[in-house]
Amino acid sequence: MARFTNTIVIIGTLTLLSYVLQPVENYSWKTIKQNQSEFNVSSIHEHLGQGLIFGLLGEFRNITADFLWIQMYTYWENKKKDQTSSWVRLVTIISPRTRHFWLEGARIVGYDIPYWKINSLGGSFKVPERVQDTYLKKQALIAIKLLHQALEHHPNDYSITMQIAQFYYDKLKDKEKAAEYFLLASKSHHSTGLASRIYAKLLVEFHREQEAHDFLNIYLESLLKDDPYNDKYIIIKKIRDLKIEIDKKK
Amino acid sequence: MKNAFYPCWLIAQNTFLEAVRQKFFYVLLFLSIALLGTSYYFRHFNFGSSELKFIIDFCFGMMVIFGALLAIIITAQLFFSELENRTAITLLAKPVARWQFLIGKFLGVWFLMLAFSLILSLMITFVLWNREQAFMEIPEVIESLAGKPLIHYSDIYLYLFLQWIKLGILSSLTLLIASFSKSNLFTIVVACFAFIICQIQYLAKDYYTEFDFFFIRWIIGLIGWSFPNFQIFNIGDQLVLESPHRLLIHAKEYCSIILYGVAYIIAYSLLSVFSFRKRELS
Repeated sequence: MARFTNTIVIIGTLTLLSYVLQPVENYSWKTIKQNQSEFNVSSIHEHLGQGLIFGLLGEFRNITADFLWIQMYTYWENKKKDQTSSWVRLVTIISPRTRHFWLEGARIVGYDIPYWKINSLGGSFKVPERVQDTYLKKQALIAIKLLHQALEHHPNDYSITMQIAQFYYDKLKDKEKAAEYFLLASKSHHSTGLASRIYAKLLVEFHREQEAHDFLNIYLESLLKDDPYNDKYIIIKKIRDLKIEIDKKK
Repeated sequence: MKNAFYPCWLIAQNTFLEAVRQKFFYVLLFLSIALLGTSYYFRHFNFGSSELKFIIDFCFGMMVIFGALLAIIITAQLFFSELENRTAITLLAKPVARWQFLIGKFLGVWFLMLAFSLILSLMITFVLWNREQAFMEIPEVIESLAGKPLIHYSDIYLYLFLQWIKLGILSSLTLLIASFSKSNLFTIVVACFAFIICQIQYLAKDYYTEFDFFFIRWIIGLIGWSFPNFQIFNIGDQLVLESPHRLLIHAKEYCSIILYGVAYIIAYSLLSVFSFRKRELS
């Protein structure tokens, strides 16, 4: 009876204490949880089994992600597509702040995996082009989805936006969408001239030369005059070429 | 009141010395330092994150895992060695109350945790300082920092303090389990499970309402509401390194974490005293 009473007192006290300390806990937990996306159930819902295991590890979570990434490469080496994509997903869930995991993971999913599938069916000479195209597009869409999730953790990131644009351009052949993302990339922090130049090139392909000309002019103005590494001479040449083309059309 | 706490202080001193002499402490300390050294070599792999981030994560991870193991095992071992060697009976026959014995034991182990965490933190500081010197010779790194420091060394000690509080909760929780448990092994196993529960307590609290079956919902809810949230102390990966993700925790938030931890330490210690008050020692 004494043992039963002790147990009830202990559990009751702890529950009461937890209730009393709730505002104190919430005060700091709110900030910590906001900054740690992996602390939210919704983000680990798909991998709850694994997520729970890594949740236990506390500070070792990032190290675990690093080693799982190495482990993922053993599947990648053996071209095991299901395990590779599943581990890419898992690593990005455990450590969403490492941009490298998102980018490299998306490239593996979008560029490598469809070719493994095509090769397993007999190679690109045997598999009909229509079937190859289906695989390439399907995987590119999965990679884009992954990169959109990456943007939630790395908003306005140049490399991620550029990669999305490249998937639309190379794999999905959707130039309108690609242009949309090249434009976004050109406005991102740490953007290079490449995104702007490709965007202008696409505008020319859409027969919007005047718009491309104006866009490059604005871009040229934004370039730092004293930076010897910027691409202002290439841009100036492009603007001149465009001007000639616009004048010809007139 | 001074007299009442004096025996606690004497027992704490004794416990600390006894714990420091334990081989287990040296083994864990040596392992931690050795692993800390190896983190220096792991940087040659491409893990996707920056080298310094990897070293910080690795070192803090060790502090958490080995610290937790030390807190659980040393607390249980020292408590049961007193009971098994019957020194507790001799001690409690003198004018030493049971609460003084328990509080003294807890304080001794808690100081040991401070020593352990402090040694590791000093080592981490040295390793990071050493790498920082190499990085600060690269002009691109200096330029990207724009006058900000690459490593916020004060964050290491801020984190150390939080870990010390967390290990204090774990140690007092182990003492609570030991106060009613009959064996050392049982205490260690249950305390390890309790540690795991504390690490995922936040999931139980967030998730328990989503279970349809009443009994499961009730059990998970009880777990969520009767264990402390250890993730609140695990902010190491958001500290130390200068980055856009660095957590700027305000003094009020920091104090609330400390208050939360200390409240649990006091509660667990009082409950251990309550549970131990009528325990048969012979």
